[in-house]
Amino acid sequence: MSETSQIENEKWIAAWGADWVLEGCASCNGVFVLPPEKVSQRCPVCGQAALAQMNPDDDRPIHTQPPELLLPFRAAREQLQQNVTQFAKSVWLAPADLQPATLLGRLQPVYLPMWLVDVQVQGEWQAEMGFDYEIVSHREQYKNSGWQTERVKEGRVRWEPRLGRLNRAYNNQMAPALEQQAEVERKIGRFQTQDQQPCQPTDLAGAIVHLPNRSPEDAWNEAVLGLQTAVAQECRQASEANHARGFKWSPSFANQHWTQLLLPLYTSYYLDDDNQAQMLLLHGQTGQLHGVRRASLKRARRVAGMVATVAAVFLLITLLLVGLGLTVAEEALAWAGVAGVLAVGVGGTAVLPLLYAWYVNNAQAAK
Amino acid sequence: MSDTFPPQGYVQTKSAVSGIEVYRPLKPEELEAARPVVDFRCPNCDGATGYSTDDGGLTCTFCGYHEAPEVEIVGKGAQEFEFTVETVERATNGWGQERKELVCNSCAAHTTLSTEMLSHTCPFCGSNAVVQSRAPQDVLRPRFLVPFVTTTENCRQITAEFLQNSWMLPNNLQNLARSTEYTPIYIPFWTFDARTTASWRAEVYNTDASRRRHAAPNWKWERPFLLKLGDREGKQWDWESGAVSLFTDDMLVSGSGQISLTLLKQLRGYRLSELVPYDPTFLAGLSAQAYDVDLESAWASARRSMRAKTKEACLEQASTRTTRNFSMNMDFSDESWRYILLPIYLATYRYGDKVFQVLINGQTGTIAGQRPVDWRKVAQYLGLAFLPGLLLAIIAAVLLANNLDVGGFIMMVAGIGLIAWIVFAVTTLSKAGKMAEA
Repeated sequence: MSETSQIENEKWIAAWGADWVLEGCASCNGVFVLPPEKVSQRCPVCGQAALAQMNPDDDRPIHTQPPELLLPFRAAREQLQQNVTQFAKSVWLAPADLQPATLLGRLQPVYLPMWLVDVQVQGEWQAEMGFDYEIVSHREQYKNSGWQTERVKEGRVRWEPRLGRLNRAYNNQMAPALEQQAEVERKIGRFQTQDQQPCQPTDLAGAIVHLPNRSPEDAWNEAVLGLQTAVAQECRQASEANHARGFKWSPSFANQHWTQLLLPLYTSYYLDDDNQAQMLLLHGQTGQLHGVRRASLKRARRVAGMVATVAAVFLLITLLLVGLGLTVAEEALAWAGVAGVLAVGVGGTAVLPLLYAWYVNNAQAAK
Repeated sequence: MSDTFPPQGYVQTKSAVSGIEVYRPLKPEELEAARPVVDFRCPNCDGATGYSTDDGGLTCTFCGYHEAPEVEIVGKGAQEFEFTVETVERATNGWGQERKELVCNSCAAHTTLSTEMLSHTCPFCGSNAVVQSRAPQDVLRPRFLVPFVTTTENCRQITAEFLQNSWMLPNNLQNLARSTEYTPIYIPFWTFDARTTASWRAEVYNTDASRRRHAAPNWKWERPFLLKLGDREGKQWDWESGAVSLFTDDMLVSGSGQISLTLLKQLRGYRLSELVPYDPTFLAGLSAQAYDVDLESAWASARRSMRAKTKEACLEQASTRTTRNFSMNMDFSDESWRYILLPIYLATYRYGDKVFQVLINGQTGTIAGQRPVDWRKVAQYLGLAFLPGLLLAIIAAVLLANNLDVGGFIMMVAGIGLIAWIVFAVTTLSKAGKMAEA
């Protein structure tokens, strides 16, 4: 990775395209580059505050160069609609704002940054490699004064030490450019980087681009961990083994080349009872959705109130029938008993909506 | 990571990925194959040296130069192998030194010899009709052996005692012991380990007493209950079941089809705790037989013995030995094998026109063999033993003819003597038969 001195000296944001704006979120500290029509919206990542405009010269982000590569949005619109509708309908007593149409209307394409590093790796390695093999065993049965022998095969793994040297180029090793990278991938799944293509300014139209908050130097340790996994896997393949364990290496790295790749993500949100935005994340390639399901306590109270009213009516009828039974017709007491049971039964169910809303909200908070 | 690359004992192997070199440890057989072909020459006189059974070292047969042995005893910790086709195929060929194989035209026994040796006599049948053949390359390599401890001088003493410890043997046999040539030879053996786990079910004929014996700790057997279940005497067939798990350690199966199994069984008692890793030094100047009973056949034989042993253990669990409808399921697990060489002295001698074989355990000195029975001598002894009884019977008959009552008593004594003679004759003939057929 190297920024040209030319860009350093000029207004770097011009390299992104005409009229692009730099904005930041005071809540999550995210820094975004976005087209002018998207300014001063809610933060597309945390949804907590409206984005505030930043001065590209004074509030210079840690990495300003436009991305070289991106993964295009591939999730079908129908898939997104289906997932969003399913999500909205999965919550009983949902807040009024949790409607499929609202969520779909607020879908915002966002690009998240990721580092790709190309590096030449040299060094020595050693590991225990496991080779599958079969042994021949026997099972015998004695019946009717005779033996029957059955030959059986059992699979086993033979572990053998292997070591070697390595001099190999590894391209496109992923390293996080965002602190939240792992969390996002845990929620909606990993991105398939094979689909990458060069990033043209026109590809970013209508989207908000999240700028890196981790520098390549900062992300290098994680890149090395990913490299180690890749090298261990290739050493296993080189040894023609079926399994590997205890991989150790002493690498040296050269010719590092960093590239910024943009990952496609849709975000949306709904407002809960407290007018807080609850975020939905949708994988830009697969459409996989993650969102916090919250029930509306207001709606729960309203439903509980209606049920309680019905119970009160039954109670009133009970009292009337009791009065009638004691004064005029004794047989009315039996009907009073029935009405009393209904009053207690219906009154008891009035707490269910409140309990449900409380349970759903607490369960989501625990997650 | 090591300071030197690759570390000692590693060799580069094929890599399926470019830019990655792969090294693997040398296999034991490769380490041995890497050793040069051993030429056991005396450093003093350049004469041929041979393994000395006296102290286990190399001794020059010309100048007496002696090289002390370097023996590492691995005993029962000697490596064992699993039953994989790959393992069998991986086992290396050859004997680690240049050897030649001789095939006997008379008994077809295969014997490998070092190049210095020119074998004239087949150690198995005493025949001189031996031809040299190409050493087979498909034999597994023996990994361990028990070195010779018994010396040829000991063998002579042991054989002399063996050939004179019975009156049934010909008198001139002791002379044969002095003149017999003892051929130290390593005989191939397979050792097998396995765990057998079996579950069994059978109808067991139980009596009142056996039920009580096996019903512990509950002794509350009541007669009405027994009568209800069984017949009037309290006997009946009861279904019983059980499970057995046995581990068999180092079951020896001969890899040689040339030596009488009966004789080999008599030689058993090898201390496998004294196993040492195979080294060509131990075979210098000695013969060794390559196996002709292959691993698969030997393992089938071992399995038969193991399942018989396990079945016996199952039957022992039954409350009585009388069973019917016995069924049993058995699994083998942890199976492993070794190919080892065990030391034996072979001696064949001719008596009359018959060849007799004598084997001596090269470790313990136990002897087994065939001995010629002097049937004429046996007949003479039996006849002599019969004479007193016959005389008494004649005397008794004479006395009875003269109406003397004492004749009856003597006749009774003669009768008892006759019975004793019959017992003696049967025992003697049985012993003689075994001696000749051993």
